[in-house]
Amino acid sequence: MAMLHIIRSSGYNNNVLAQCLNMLLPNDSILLMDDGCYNVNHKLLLKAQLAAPELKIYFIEQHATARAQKNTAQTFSPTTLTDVVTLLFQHDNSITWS
Amino acid sequence: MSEAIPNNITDNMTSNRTVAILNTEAPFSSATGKESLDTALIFGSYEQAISLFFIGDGVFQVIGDQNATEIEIKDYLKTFSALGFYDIENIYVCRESLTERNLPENFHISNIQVLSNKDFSQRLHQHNVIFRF
Amino acid sequence: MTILYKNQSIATDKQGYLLDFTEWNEDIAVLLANGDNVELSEPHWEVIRFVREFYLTYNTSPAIRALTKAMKAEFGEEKASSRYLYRLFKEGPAKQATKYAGLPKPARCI
Repeated sequence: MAMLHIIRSSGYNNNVLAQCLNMLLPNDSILLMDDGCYNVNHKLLLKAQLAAPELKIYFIEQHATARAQKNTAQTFSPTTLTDVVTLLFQHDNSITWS
Repeated sequence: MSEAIPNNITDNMTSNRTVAILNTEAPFSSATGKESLDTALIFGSYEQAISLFFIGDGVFQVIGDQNATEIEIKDYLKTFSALGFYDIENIYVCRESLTERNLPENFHISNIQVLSNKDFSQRLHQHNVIFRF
Repeated sequence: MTILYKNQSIATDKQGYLLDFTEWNEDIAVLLANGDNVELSEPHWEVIRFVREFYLTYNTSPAIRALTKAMKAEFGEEKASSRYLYRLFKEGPAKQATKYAGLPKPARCI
């Protein structure tokens, strides 16, 4: 079963991001929204994607722009709140990590 | 109360969808743990299949020899022993979280299953709806 | 709100549940039941004592399903059916027995 992990807090402030990555299985995807967008350049996320190149990491572009956050590596996919609905239906279930 | 409700309605209420509750916080500094347990008991009261997961600081909720009354907190941990009456029997704890905290496998409830990080995650993935506390 | 017991007033909430469960005794159970025009028989007492014991052990008032399951283990099938319990406590066994046992109203109440 593919899970969508929705991260809504900064991984620099707590270990929720690390905990989420611990629960990650193949076919899962990650979505950064709200303060989760502060993770667009987080080492743990970049490392996770290096280890599993097929891992899809999305972020809500509007939320990132509002916070002056740019995904420098450009390996994460910008998306919109509207498209999150589609994303949810592409997965079997989801967890919100906030 | 199932007897007061026509059968066709109860059939709709009890689905095959499974619910997981993922606990990530220690028990006493916030109300999160108690709220999580209350949620589990409500699902149990309505015969909704539910599993409890403990990871990270959440494992502090299930370790043995705690005494909430010492710090004058109502001991909601005692309620865990009543889970069987609510047909809540799937309780999983992450082994790595225990090891990380140097905790032995000593719990105040009896039917806990300790799983490796990977097995824990796979079990979690098998549920349709996941609430994180 | 309060009820009067031996010239002392005991605090209750709006629905008549004791605010402090340690103030309870069996005389007070009778007073609480009288307030609802219920006369307590031995079968009532069995349930009231059982619910009180449940609360003291698990720090929670049992909802109806948990109550019937726990009672089945103690008293057998007959006395643990929800039909039997509803006959004794018409407003809902978990709710009513909990009240007479001096306990807080179950949060997940049916």
